[in-house]
Amino acid sequence: MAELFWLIPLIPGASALLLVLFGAKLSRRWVAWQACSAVFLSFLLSSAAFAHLVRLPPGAPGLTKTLFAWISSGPFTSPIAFAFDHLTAVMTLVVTGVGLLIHVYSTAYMAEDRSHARYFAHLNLFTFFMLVLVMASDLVLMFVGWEGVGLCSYLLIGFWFERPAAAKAGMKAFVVNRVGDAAFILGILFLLANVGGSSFSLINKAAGGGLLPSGLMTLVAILLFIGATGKSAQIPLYVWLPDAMEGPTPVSALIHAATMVTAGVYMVCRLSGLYAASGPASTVVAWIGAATALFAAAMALVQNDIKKVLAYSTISQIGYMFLGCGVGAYAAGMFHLVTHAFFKSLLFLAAGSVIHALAGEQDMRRMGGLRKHLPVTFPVFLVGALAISGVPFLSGFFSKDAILTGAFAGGQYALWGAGLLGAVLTAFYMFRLVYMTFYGKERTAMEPGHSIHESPRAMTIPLVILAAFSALAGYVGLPVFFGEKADLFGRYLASSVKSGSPHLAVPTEGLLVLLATASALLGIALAFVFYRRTPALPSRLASRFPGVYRLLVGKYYIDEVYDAVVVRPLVRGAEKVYERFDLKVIDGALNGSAAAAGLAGKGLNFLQSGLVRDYALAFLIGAITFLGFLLL
Amino acid sequence: MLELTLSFLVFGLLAAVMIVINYLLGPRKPNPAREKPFECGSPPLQAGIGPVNIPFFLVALLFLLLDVEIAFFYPLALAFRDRGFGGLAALGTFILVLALGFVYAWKKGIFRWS
Amino acid sequence: MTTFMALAPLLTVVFGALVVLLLEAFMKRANREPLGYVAALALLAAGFFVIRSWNRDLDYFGGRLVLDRFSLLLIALFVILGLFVLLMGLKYAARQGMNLGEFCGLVLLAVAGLMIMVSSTDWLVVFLGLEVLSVASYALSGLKKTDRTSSEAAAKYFLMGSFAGAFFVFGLALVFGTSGSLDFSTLLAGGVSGAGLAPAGAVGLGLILAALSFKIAIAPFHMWAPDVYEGAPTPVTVFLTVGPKAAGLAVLFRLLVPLLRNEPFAAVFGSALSLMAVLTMFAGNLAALRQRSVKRMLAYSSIAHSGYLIVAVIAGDGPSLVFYLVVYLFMNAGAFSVLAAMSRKGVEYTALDDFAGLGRRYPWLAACLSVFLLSLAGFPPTAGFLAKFYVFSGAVREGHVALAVAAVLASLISVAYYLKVIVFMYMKEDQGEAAIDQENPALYLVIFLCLFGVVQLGLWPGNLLALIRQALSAAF
Repeated sequence: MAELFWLIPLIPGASALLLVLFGAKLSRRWVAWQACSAVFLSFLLSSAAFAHLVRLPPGAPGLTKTLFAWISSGPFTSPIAFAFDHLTAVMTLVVTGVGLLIHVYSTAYMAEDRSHARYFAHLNLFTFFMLVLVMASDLVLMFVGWEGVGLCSYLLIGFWFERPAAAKAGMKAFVVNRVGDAAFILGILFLLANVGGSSFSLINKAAGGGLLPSGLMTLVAILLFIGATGKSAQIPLYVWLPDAMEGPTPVSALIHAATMVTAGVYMVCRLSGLYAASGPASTVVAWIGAATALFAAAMALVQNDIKKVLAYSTISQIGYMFLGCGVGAYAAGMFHLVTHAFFKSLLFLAAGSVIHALAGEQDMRRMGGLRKHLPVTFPVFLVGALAISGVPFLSGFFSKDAILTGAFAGGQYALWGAGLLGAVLTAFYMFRLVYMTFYGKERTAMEPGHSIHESPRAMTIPLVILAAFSALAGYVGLPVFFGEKADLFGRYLASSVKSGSPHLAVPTEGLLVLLATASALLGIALAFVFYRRTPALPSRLASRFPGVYRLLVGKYYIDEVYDAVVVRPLVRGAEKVYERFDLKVIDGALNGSAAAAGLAGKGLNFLQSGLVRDYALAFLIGAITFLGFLLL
Repeated sequence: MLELTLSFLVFGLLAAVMIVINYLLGPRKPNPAREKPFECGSPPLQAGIGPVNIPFFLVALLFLLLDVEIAFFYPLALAFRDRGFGGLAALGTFILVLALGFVYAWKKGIFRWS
Repeated sequence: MTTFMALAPLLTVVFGALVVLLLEAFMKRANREPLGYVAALALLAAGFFVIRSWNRDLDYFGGRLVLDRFSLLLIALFVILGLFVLLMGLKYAARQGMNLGEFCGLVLLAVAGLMIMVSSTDWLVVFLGLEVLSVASYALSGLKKTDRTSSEAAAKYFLMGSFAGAFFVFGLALVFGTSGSLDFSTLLAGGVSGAGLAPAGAVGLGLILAALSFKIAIAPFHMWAPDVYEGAPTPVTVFLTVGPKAAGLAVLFRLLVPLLRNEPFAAVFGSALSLMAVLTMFAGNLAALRQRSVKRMLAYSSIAHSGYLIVAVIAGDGPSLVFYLVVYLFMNAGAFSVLAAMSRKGVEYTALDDFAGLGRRYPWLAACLSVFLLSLAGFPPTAGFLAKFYVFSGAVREGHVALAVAAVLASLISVAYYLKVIVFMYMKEDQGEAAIDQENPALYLVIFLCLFGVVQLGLWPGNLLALIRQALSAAF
C-alpha cells in the first residue's frame, strides 16, 4: 500500500474535478460522502506510507515516485515527482487528518448552504493542491501547489460572495499573496540559474556544500521568505489574514489556521539546508517571526470579533514557528506547526460551533454565559485555550517550550525574551476570549423563538477528537529532562531537516520550563482579573490610555498605510495611463473629433477623426526616440 | 557618426524649441473667420471634402493592377532569349492570376456603374 | 536542396485562396459553409507539405525562400492558427453579417503572407510577405461592413500600417545602401558607429525595427492595437493577435540573435529593446486594468504578452520564444473563442457586465474561459505558467535579471484584471439576459482543442519542447 503513496494528492484532486463538473447534479448527501471519503482514503494512504517509513532503517531515503518528465529548460529538468520522507509524512498526516475532521464538520456546518457542492469541490481542490505543495520533490512543483492553495483560499474566502466584504477580502488575500509569490518565483529563477536544478535535495546539497556564493544564498533565501510571509501572513504581508475570516469557519480552520498558512514554515524547513547556510537570512526569519508573534498578539488583545481574535492568534503563533526556524530549531518549528494545527483548528471549529449556536453572531460583546448551553463545545474550547496558552502537560506547552529553548540555546536571548512576552499575551487574549464568551452574564441578543443549542454530532465529534490530540500530541516531543530519547519528534525528523541547536543542561532547561509556565499562568491570571473579577477594569484602562487603545483597535493603521502607499498610487497610475492613452487620445478623439474638425457634421464621421493622427504622432515620436537612443 | 549625431541634435532640438516657443508665445483666439480654409476670398459654399463614388476607387485599383502588368511584360520581352520557357511559364502564371482577379471583379459587378 | 517543392505549402494556400474567392463569386447557394471547408482543406494540404518537408532543408529562388526547421515550425503554427480562425468564423460570419467567402480567402492570403515572412532571410522577401499579410489584414479587420467599429478598425489599421510600411521601406533603403546586400547576415559589415554598424545602417535598422515593432504591437508603436483588436471581428482578432506577432518576432529573432552576440551591438540595441519590453509590459497591463470590455482588455493583454515575448528575443532564447508563441496561440485563441461564443445573430456580448453570472448560466463556457484566463495570467499548472517560466528563467540565465524582475512584476499586475473576469463570472449575479446562440459546433471544437492544448502543454510539454529544440539547434 505504501508504494501507492503518490495517489495521496490525486484522490482529492479527482474528487474535486468530479464535483466541479457534476456537483450541481449530485445529491447533497452524495457530495458530502464523496468529499469526505476522498480525504479519508488519502489519510489511510498517508498512514500506510508513514508506517512504512518508520519501519525503514535510519538514514534510508524516503519514498519517491516520478510520474513523468515535466519541464526541461536548457540544462535543467524538473519532473512531476512526489516524495514522501519524514518531513512530508508529518505534513501529509496533518493535512489529511485535520482535513478529514474539518470535512466531516463541514457536512453539518454547511448543510443548509445553497452552494453546498461548490463548497466541497473547492475544499477538495484545496486538499489536492496542499498535498501537491507538501509532497512535491522540487521547488517548481511546490510552487504549483503554492499558487493552487492561494487560488483555493481566494475562492473559499469569497465563498459568500454576495457579501461585498467577503468578495473584497478574497481579492485582498489573493493580491497580497501574489506580491509574495512574485518574490518567490524570482527566488526560484535565481536558484535555477545558479544551482541548475530545483529539487530540494539538490538545493540543500548545493547550499550545504558551499557551492553557492553566500550573497546569492541570502538573496534567494530572503526572496523565498518574502513569499512565505505572504502565504503565512507574517509582517509585512499579514494584512489579508484577519479579513480572510469572512470565509466559512471550517475554511478558516483548515486553510487559515492548520494547513495553508503554515506552508511557509514547511518551505523553510524543507530548505533548511539553504537557510542554515545563510546566517543573515536566518536572522531575518527569526526576527520577523518574533516581531510578528508580539505584534499580532498585541492586536489580538483588543479584537471583539471571536474569529478575528483567533486570526491574529494564528499570525502570532506562525511567528513563533518562524522564530523557531530562524534560530535553527527547525524540528521545534515543525513541532509547533503540528500542535498548532490541532489546537487552532479545534479553537476555530469550536468558535464555529458557538457562532452556529448563536445563529451567526460573531461579536464577543454579545455572547457570555454560554458555558451552560454548550456542554460539549465549552470543555473542548477550554482544552484548546489551555493548550495554546502553554499550560503544562498540554501539547502547546511542549512545542512552544521547544522553540523558546531553541532560541535560548542558540544564544538569542532577546528573541527568547520576546517569545516569553508573547506567551503572556497569548494566554491573556485567549482567556479574555474564554471569559467573554463562556462566562459572565448572557449578553446574547437572540429573538425569542430561537434557543441556544449545542451543535449536531457531525460537528461535536471532530471537536472531541481534536481536543484529544490538542491535549496529548505534545508527548511525542518531550523536553530533554525526560531523558535523552524523549524527544521522539526531533529524532524522527533528524533525517529530513537540519538538526537543532546544542542541548542545554538539564537545570537550565528546567528553569526555562518554569519561566514559560509562569508566563502562561500570569497571562491567564491577568485575564481572570480583568474580565472575570473586575470586568470594568479594561474600559477604565482604555480610557486611561486612549492612544494605545486606539492604535491597537485601529490595527496600527497598517491597512490605511498600505492603501495610501501602495494601492492608491498604483490605481491612480493606471488611471493616468488610461487617461493619457485611452480617454484622451482614443475616446476623446472619438467624441471630440467631430467638433474639432468642424466640417464633419454629426459625429458620424469617425474615420477622419484626429485619432489616427495622434497614433501616427506617437509612432513618430517613438521612432525618433528609438533612433536617438541608438545613435547617441 | 558624430556629424550625424550632431545634426540630429541640432535640427531636432531647433525644431522642438521652435514648436515649443510657438506654443508658449502664440496667442490663441479662435474665431469663425480664422477657422476658414482660406483667409481671403469668397466664403466656402460647402464642405471641403466631398464624397467620392466608391466604384471609382475600385476601377482605379483595377487599372493600377493591369498597368503594373506592363512593367513586367517589358523586361521579359527584352530578356526572353535568356529566360526561355521558364520565364514564359512564370509570366503565364502571373497573367493567369491577374485574369482570375479580373474575372472575380467582373463577377462581383464592379463594372456595373450604378 | 533547391527544389520547387519548397514552394508547395505556400502555393497550396494561395491556390486555395483563389479557388475560394472564385467559388464565392460564382456560388448560387445561400449557405456558404462549404467555402470554409475548401479553405480548411487547403490549409490541411499545406500542413501535409510542411510535415513532408521536415528535416529536408528545402529552398528555392536561389536560397531566398528557405524551409528550414525553424520556419517550418512557425508555418505549422500559422496553419493551426488559420484553421482555428476558419472554424471560429464558420457560423460567426453569417451571424455578424460577414461574407464567409471573402473571410476564408483573405485568411488564406494572410497566412500565405505569414509563411513568406518567416521563411526568408532576405529583406525584400520579408517585406513582400509583410505587405501580403498587411493588405489581407486590413481587409479582414473591416469585414463586418455594416459595423462602425469594424470599419473604423480597418481604416485605422490601414493608415497606421501604411505609415509603418513606409518606415520599413526607408529603413530597407538605408540598410541596402550601407551594406550593399539585402541579406540579414551582412548587416555588420563595415561598421563604424557605436553599435558596430555604419551610422546610416544603424538608422535603417532602427527604422525597420520600429516597423516590425508596430506589427508585433510593442510600445510605443502599439497605439493602434487596442482599437483594431477590439473593432475587428473576433476570429480576425485572434488572427491579428497571434499571426503578425509570431511572424514579426520570428523575423526579429532571426535578425537579432546573431547580432546580439556582438558586444557593441548588444550594448546599444539590447538596452533599447529592453526598455521597450518593459514599457510594453507595463503599458499593456496597466491599461488593461481599467477596461470594462473584455475584448478590449484582452487586446491590451495581448500587448503585454508582446512584452514578455520580446524578453525571450533579448535573451536569445529561441525555444522559449517558440514555446511561448505556441502556448499563446492556444490560450489566446481559446479566450477569444469563448468571446465569440458569447453572441447571437447581430449581437456580441463583450462587456464585463455581460459576463456576470456566466458561471451559472453557461457553466462549461465559464469554466473554459477561466482556464484560459488563468493560463494567460501564468497560473500553474497551465501552459501559460510554463511558457512564462521558461522565458523568465531564460532571461535570468542569460543575465538579464532586471528585465526578469520587471517581467515578474508586470505579470503580477496582470493577474488583477484576468481575475476580474472570473470574479464577474462566478461571483456576481447576472443583470441582463445575455442569451447566446449555442448552435455552433465548429467553435466548440476550437474551444475544446485550445483547452486540450493549454492543459496538455502545461503538464506534458516534453514532446513539443524536444521538437522545438531540434528545430532550433541547427539554425542558431
